[in-house]
Amino acid sequence: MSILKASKIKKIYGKKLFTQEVLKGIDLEVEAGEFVGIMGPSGSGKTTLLNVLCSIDRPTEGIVEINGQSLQKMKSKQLSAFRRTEMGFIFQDYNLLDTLTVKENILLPLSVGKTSKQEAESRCQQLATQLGIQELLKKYPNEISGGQKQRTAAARALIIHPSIVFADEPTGALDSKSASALLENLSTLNKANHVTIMMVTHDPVAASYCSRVLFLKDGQIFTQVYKGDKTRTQFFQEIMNTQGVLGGDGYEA
Amino acid sequence: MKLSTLVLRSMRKNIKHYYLYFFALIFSAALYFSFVTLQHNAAVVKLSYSSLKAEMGFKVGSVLLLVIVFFFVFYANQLFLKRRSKEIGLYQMIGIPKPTISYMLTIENLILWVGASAIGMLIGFFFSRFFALLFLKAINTKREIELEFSTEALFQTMLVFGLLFIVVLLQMMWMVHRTTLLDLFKATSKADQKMKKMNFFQIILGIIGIGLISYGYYLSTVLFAIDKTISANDLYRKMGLILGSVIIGTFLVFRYSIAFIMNMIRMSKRGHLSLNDVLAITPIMHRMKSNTLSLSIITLMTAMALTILSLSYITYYSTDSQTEQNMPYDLAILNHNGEKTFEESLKSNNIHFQKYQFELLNVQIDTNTLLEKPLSKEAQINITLDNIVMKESDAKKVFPKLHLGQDEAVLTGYSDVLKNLMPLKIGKSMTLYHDKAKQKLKLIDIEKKASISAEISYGSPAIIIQDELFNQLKKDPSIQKSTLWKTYTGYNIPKENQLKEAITLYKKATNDGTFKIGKKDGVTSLLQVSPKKEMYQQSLENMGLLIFITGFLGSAFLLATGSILYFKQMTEAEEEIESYRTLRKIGFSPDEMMRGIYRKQLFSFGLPLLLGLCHSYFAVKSGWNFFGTELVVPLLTTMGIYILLYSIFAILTSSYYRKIIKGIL
Repeated sequence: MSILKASKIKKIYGKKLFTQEVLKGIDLEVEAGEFVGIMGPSGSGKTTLLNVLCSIDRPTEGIVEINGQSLQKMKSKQLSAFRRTEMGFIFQDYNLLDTLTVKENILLPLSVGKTSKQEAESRCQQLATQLGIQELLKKYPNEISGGQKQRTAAARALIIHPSIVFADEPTGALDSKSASALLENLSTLNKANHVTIMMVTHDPVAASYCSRVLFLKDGQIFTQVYKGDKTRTQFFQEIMNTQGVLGGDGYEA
Repeated sequence: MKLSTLVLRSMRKNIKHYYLYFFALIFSAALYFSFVTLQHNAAVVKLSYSSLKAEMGFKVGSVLLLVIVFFFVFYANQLFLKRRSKEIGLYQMIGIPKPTISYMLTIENLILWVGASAIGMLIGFFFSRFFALLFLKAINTKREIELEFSTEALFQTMLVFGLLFIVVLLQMMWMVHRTTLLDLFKATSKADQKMKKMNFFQIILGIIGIGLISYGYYLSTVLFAIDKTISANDLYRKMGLILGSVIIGTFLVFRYSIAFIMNMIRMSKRGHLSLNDVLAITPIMHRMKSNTLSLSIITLMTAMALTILSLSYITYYSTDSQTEQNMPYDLAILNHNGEKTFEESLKSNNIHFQKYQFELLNVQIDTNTLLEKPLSKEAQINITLDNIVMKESDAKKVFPKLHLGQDEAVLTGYSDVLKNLMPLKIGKSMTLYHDKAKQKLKLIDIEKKASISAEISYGSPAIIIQDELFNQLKKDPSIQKSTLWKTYTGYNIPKENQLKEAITLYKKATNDGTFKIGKKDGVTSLLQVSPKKEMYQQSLENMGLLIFITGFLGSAFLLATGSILYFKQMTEAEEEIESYRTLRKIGFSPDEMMRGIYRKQLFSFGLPLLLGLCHSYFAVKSGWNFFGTELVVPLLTTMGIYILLYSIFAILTSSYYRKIIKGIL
């Protein structure tokens, strides 16, 4: 079953003479339970694609469907509600609310809606245990480390049992140890809870946790690689090779 | 790149930040200049009967206005500097020495100040016409005044704003000098401390805060209780105590009580906050420490403005009934002086009139025993025994229902001030002294309405007694000797259009209403009785001046507090932008979020207003009857208008928030 379906996505910035086509007609499908990575050099349109897919930005052309519902047909209010009930978000700079405790941050998406308190509480406890942050629930974001913040953000994304989680460079601000811990967590949740995840990253190590990696170049999908039965190290090697073919080092500033 | 280029470019880029500061400056300059223009306009000052009072009023007003403007500019500058701290930090980081940065900021400020003062004075000049019209309306005259550009006002405004500029420069330089690079980058988040768990000490302080305010309120209700307050010194001591406890209490309430209550609410939710809590309670708690001082000051300013406005409006509103109390008839004649001439001239001019005549006696009566609570010994010294007495048959014309038994008496002209200061009890007795004998009189009724001019009875009530007793007292030689005015004749002219003519005739007949009495010991007493209409117009002009100046100051207070809150909320909104963006991203619609924002605004604007209203209510309640005779209508009107104008700022702020929240995705 496909959770996300996008066809002929185009995104053009600017007006009239000074236009720039960032996405040049992208077709994409994500199956339930997949962990999809999107890689590509800077300026290839990774983040734009993610924003369009998750309804934060609107495409110039093309259709995005999540769970069979077309995002283009919804009004902004419906989109907000749809995001809150169907999608989870993890951002590079955590985007936690400083004024809230870890627990309050995790429960934030449920603050409007009909989830019962017991249900919310048990989901929160379960996720906190899975992500190893149950000791931190009463702390404030400025008292915990970057890795812990990002795990809090992951818990916040997952508390609503979303159809799909969008992660934009979730490891970008983390050191390698916290990064791999977070990726392990995400990977486990992906398998154990059948959470569908779509992750933008420029880090081949991060990408190697995915089940499929798409490579973007100049606004188009250049190629994609599947993990299949390969080990993570083998998959990592394959990603590195593809990146080499892609040209550029992928790390340009 | 030259330094001046840098200055100009940074100004152009920062125009959004300047906008706020610039507005504050223009507003202050306009307000001050228009007020000073009026102050220096001879025509305006001379309009009022008592030009000396007008001059003083304007002078005091301009000083108070200066204080408000100073506070406002100082605060706006501080916010402005805080907003720009990152930029200043950046200059330091790329190696511009501090003196150069100060120099740059000085140039910037100079451009701003010169521009703002010029625009402000221009606006102020046009507004001064509008204010002059308001002034004329307030003192109820149809005269017109020419308003010219006053160079005196120009120089005074320039001098004041020049001095303010220096103060602001010092403030700025001190800030640049004092801060290190690291501080500058942290400035916006510096005061934003996270909520620590409430400890016992803080809870106690929170309770003390509420207690202090209640104590202040209680004290204010008994401030003028004659049995407790002994002397003027005692009064000042108590007033100081009230002020102190309310001010400290307000501060403690904002610092601890509110935080405590919010903490309780938050704790009780055990992490399951609603979106409204997230947008209203948590940011308020987060900022409570840094906001305490400004919220307290705003509360106190609101209270002050409301008290001043209410009291002056009470005075203005009561002019009518106050005049009635002081002068119950259109015209009055004493000791028959010119009475015949006046009445004849009225008749020959076909002017219909009503006449009320009273025979008067000055009698020694001890009324202390009528008091509900006994006076303190210190206060008793000030009470004279000399009282004006009149007879029942005379008084019946004014009080038709009057009926006295033997040894009974009624008080008339018992004003609200007296009622509050010295509450009397019907049924108690007073002692009358005559012929070296004593006689008890029982008080059976009290009339608020006066029967004779307050000038005759020195503001204290006149006592009505039975005719027999009156005639008996009249024969007493010592009473005869002490009686100053033997008769009082009041005239009412029922036809309004004949009143003017009657006044002219009255003045002719009575030598402009001057009454003389020659005593045996050679001392002559002189009394000037003004027609009611003239008294009314005169007090209306005085009160008009009062209400104009206080109204001006009150609006300045209102604008200053409203703007400060608006600026503060603007800054907070900008600091919260990231949170709002996150909330929008994870799927909260602007409408859902605005509900929380409205609550936050309700708190930020509503709480200082509510506390300010309470403070001013008790302040007005304790002393209002020294100012006038009506409380409810003027008080409610003043508060209503204030709330209405104040809420404009809250609405403006909310729409600013809405714009930000809608625009971030």
